[in-house]
Amino acid sequence: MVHTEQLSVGAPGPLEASELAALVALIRDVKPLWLSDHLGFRCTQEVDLGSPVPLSFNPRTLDLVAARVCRIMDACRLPLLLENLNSPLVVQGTLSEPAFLNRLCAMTGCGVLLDVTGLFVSSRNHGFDALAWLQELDPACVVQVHVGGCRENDGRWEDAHAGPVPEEVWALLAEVLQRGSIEALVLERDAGFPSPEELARELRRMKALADAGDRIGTDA
Amino acid sequence: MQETALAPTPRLPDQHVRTTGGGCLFVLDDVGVFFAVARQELYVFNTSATFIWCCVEEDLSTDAMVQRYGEVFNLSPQEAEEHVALALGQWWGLGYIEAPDIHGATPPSFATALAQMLSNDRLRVEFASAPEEIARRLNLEGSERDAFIALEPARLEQQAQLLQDRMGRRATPPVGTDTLFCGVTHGGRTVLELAVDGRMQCLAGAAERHYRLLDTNCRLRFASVEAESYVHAALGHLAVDEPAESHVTFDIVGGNDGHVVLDGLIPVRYCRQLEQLAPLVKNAVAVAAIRRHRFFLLLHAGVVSNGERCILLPAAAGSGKSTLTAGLTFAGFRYFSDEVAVLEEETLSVRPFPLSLGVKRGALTTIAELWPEAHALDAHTRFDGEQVRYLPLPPECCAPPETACVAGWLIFPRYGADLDTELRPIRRSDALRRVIDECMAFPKSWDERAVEKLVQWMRTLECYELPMSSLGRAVELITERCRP
Repeated sequence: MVHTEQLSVGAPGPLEASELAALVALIRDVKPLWLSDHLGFRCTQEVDLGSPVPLSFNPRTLDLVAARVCRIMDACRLPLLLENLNSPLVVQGTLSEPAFLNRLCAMTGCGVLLDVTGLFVSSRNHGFDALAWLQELDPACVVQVHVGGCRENDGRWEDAHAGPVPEEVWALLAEVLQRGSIEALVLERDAGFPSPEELARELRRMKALADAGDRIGTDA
Repeated sequence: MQETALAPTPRLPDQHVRTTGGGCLFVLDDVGVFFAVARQELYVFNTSATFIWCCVEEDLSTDAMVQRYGEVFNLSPQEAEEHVALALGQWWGLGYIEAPDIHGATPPSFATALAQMLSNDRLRVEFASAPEEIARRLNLEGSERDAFIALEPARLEQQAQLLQDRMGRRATPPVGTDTLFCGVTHGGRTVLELAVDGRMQCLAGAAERHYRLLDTNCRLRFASVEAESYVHAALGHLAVDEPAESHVTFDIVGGNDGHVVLDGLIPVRYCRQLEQLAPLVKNAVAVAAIRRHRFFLLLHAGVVSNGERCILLPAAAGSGKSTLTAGLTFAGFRYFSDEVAVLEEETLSVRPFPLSLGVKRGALTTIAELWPEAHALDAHTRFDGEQVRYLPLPPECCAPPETACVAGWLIFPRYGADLDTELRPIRRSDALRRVIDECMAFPKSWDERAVEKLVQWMRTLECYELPMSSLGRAVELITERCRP
């Protein structure tokens, strides 16, 4: 899989042709099953913020993102998966994030990369019900799932990709896997590596959850 | 690297605007090179934007600006006002100018407005006390205006801080990472375990070599003669007798489970196979030499010299840069580098950084026409999986290590089997755009003076692009153009 922060699917203005060409060349070399990025924007015509930030979920944004997603999938000839973004910002919109994703998937044929830990972190930081969020999302849209460690720092939760997966995230993952089939399940760990045995324990627990519902299409 | 686009926009009350110090402009050819200080970004403005910025610097009122702009660009007063208003609106949103009543362009998207807020500290401060006024001035409408006003100032600050932190982390990657410390070798041991064992062996090391790159003396100690032989194939031309002082020491240890490069007690590189070791050590030596060197900037470029001035060949991987550098070296130019142009901090002259000339599989046949023994050289595997052979460079091909040579030409090669090989002059401003694209690093935050220096340096260069399908013809063209 190719996972990037470069696509800026919610950005105003046209896609940079040279960037798209570079992406197509990469995909030709790597031959991934999916291409994925975040449901947000990183660049405008004036500024590159360096990382994706959230969108206002409304019909205007939906049209804009759908047009970009179609252009990217046409050029890359590959399914694009969009990941729910975890950010300190709360942006008001006329659509909820799951409703936005449901409509976007229906309009374009793209899929969702569901970051379960990111969802948990956002729900804690912004005070919403993660389970209700999951129930609103069409399970058929979810193609890939990420889980990882997170931590609370000064009253704020961070999706640190370090440390063990918390029990609340395991519970949300079980819910996701009960609701529908997915194609891939990824344990994210960028730092604070444990012993190989501990890492293997987490992977086995993930596999057991997936096997329990026969909910995974490819190897975890 | 972007151009300021101009499109219709309404209304511009007469007023004086002032620059905030958030950006500065230098003129190259007839376009402006704009430097955004806080974001450390360079833009090449188009002629219109350059003209308007100069009017701001001259402290013209907006009415006077519109009148002069209309006269120079032969536009109706309404068109001129639209263009000026759009440029000023963008610059105000980005924090480059202060103005009592500048409005944004035709209603921007929420994303455009949010990006301005996150990149403009001044705007966030004003937003905290008067969100509706900022929404009015940005010209937001409808549900996007509502979403904008509902943003919480404290969370905006958190998001802006997070973006800055991430940018900062990218700029300074740590030496030795958790991943490397805890990575597991294919024998099942951690890299750290392998490193500790190997370090013990290396205390009674099998071989020791000394190399010099820029002003850095580098000592390499090997646990095995085999490893030493592989690495020396890539670094042999940089070998020196044991110097009085070694600035950096790397121990290369390991065995069946892989190979670890240690900087003191810290594992800094790991590879599984011996064939992967030379590129890895070469990279460690290069990084160490760069870290100890005071440079102005590094360009991803091949470099050769005609004995008086340098030719810089900046290009991305796969554009034929290394093959062209090899061709020019075989044609009698002095070899400086096939990867990195190191521009000296004060003079911006170029220092030799003669890492081995690496020939990839795709270029082997072409290079073998110049140097038939190339096929017989050991193949090494780079960390990106690409196979390379390192051409042994006779000392007379390389520039002396202490040389610093003035740059004379910037030539951007681009290989394509169907292309006509020709040397086409390009504008310096276009060349600067490409230089910025190929710029690998500058050592610290740039200020106005540094950007001025870069622009002055660009003014001294002849700039070309070189589409090419024939190496021989490309070498001929450069030889003809870049005579001493």
